[in-house]
Amino acid sequence: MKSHASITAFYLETLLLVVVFVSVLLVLTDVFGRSRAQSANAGDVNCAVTLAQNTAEAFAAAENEDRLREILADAVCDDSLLRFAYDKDLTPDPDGFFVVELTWRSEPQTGGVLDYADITVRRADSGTVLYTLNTAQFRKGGQ
Amino acid sequence: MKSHASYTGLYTIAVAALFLAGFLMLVILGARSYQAAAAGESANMQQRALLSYLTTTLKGYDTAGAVQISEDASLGTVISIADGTSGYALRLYVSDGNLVEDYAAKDAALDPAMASVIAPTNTFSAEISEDGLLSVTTDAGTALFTARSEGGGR
Repeated sequence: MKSHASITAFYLETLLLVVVFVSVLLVLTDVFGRSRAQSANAGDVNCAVTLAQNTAEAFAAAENEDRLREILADAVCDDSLLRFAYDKDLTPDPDGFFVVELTWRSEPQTGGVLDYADITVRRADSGTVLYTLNTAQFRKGGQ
Repeated sequence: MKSHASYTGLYTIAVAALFLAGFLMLVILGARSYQAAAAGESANMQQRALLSYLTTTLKGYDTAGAVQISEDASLGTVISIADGTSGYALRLYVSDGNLVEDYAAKDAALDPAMASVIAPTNTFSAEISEDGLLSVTTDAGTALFTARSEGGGR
């Protein structure tokens, strides 16, 4: 009787141990999975920052929206909007992984025009915003 | 009794084996996860280092007519960024698979042995558009730069 009880207790204890161990395993597996996902996201954000900076520089060089489209002609993915697409290795690709959207606003100022650009970089598949950048460029003489 | 003891023994071994398998799986998963994270961090740093260095250097020397692009017979594309009116310039080019820079007189011959290594890259090309937009392409991607000073590049 006593022996039977002690064996049962042993089985119960080891079962409990297994349950605790499996729980720890599941939690850690989830942590490792999340860290991989975050690492991949960090890479995408890194690319998004570079694309946003490049687009801001192209905006500074372009006198108007049409000229910006000409400068970034290889990446244009929408003729009616200022939308440009790039692949994961930052090469222009109309069906690429990243989409860069630029909203151009102009405000007349004394001696010229102040152009504002709101740049947003998204994932093409999910539309998730990866990075945003606001910049401005003063152009003399209203050009 | 004897069979009971053997069942208990087998059960104990099975639990121990389960723990061992789980522990090994955890170690392998953790190591792979860390390896992937470290590789990603290294690649990101490489890209940022190279492209950010180029744009920061160009912005630091943003004066009229400062940037010149030329071709060297053995070293390929050379970007020369004049240091004001001093007669000296910062020269960027690729040597032995690395982007290097040296600071010397504008017309001095290139000397890769005396240059400082910036980052590894085999690709290095540059062009300036009619709008003054400088485009520099490396293994890490392309960096665009517009000189804010008038006539900043040619």
